[in-house]
Amino acid sequence: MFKGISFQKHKKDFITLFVLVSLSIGMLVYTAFSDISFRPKQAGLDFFSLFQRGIVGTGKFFSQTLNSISELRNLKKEYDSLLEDYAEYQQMKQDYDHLAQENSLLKDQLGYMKEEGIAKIPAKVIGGNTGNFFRSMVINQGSNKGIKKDMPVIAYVDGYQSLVGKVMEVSAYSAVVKPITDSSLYVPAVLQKYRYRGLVNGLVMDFVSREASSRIGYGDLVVTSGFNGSYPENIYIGKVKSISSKEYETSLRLEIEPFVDFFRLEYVFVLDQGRSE
Amino acid sequence: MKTKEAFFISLLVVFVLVILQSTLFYYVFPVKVIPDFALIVVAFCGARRGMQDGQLLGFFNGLAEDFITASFPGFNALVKTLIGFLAGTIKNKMLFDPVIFPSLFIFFVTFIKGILAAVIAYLFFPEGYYPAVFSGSFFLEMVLNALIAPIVYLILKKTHLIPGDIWGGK
Repeated sequence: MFKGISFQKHKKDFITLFVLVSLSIGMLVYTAFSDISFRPKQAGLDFFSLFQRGIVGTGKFFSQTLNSISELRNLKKEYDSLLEDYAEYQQMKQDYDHLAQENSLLKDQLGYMKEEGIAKIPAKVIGGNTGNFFRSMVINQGSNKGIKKDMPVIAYVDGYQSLVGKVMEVSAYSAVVKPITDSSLYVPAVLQKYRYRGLVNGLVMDFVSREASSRIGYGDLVVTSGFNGSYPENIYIGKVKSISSKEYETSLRLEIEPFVDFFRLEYVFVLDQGRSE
Repeated sequence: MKTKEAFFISLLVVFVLVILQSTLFYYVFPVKVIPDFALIVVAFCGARRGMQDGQLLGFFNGLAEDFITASFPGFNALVKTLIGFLAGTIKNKMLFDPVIFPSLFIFFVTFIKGILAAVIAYLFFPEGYYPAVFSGSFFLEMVLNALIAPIVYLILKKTHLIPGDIWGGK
């Protein structure tokens, strides 16, 4: 391919290549091996997320306009059904308040420490992967709302808190989230029913004791263990899809099906573990 | 179209494609793998307009991706710069038919992207941060890119962003 390309004839091209490659390597080395935030990336993220917001907003406007007629038809039905649900929930709330009060009293009697609250910062997903090497998504809230690097991100799936991932980069008005599907993210996890611990990485749970093989089965739920404090405990990750192990290995390898459908995710919550709501 | 004019329009097209790839295409594409439209534009512009345009477009394409993804800044910029440059080396050396060659060329370019990404990640990433480059989705991306390539090539030719004659750049 390079045959016939003389350096003299293409001197300018090679000089540009040298400059661009040096710039890229400089950025790469600086960011890969230091914890310091790279300001141009934050500025660039803010700039591009402006357009992402615009496109997502416009898309939503058109889809909502198109769907509005059929939505009106359904609204009446939903309204009636919601009234019934509301009455039911009123009763449930009374029961809940009663139970919460009872629980608090019992905790006081048992001398439990009060759990520190976790604030949830709501955000909208405004962008997804641009390529297939790195899994990531862009959300429309940033440091202006108190979001910081490494904060866990969750979503509600069928009413359950499910783990989405972790904040990787924060700019003033947006942030990049790395989802649990990315193989460079490690989440301490536990099997909800039998309490066997492991480490979830790229939707595979490793380091699960072999003893678990006789007890666990397909569909068993995997939740965060809260170990090392990076993620709060008992957040749903997914369910066991397959179990495998090699004879010489001392642990099991579980493939996990996530609860979150990352391609349909619209709203997420960033967890601020040091702040109460 | 003048060279500078074509370059700046191509740059704008690449930026728009990067944003669309992360928003609209991400949600509407039927399969969970998104073709790299911006890469296709960079590769064709490089191959038909030369190394200078190819590498500059590649650099800015990669940089834009670095800003909005969880990758380390510089990673995509380096991969795409090298692709733009390498594509530029075939200017005036290859015969571009409307369908077969653009497809094969982009298939090969996507494969090179994978190799470059793997090597660069291995050289510069801290341990534990290596992206899964040669996964099923990457091979699907190679196929999708190849299928889309002739359409993108035709659009670039019709809009005069690349020379319209058969022999590249002559």
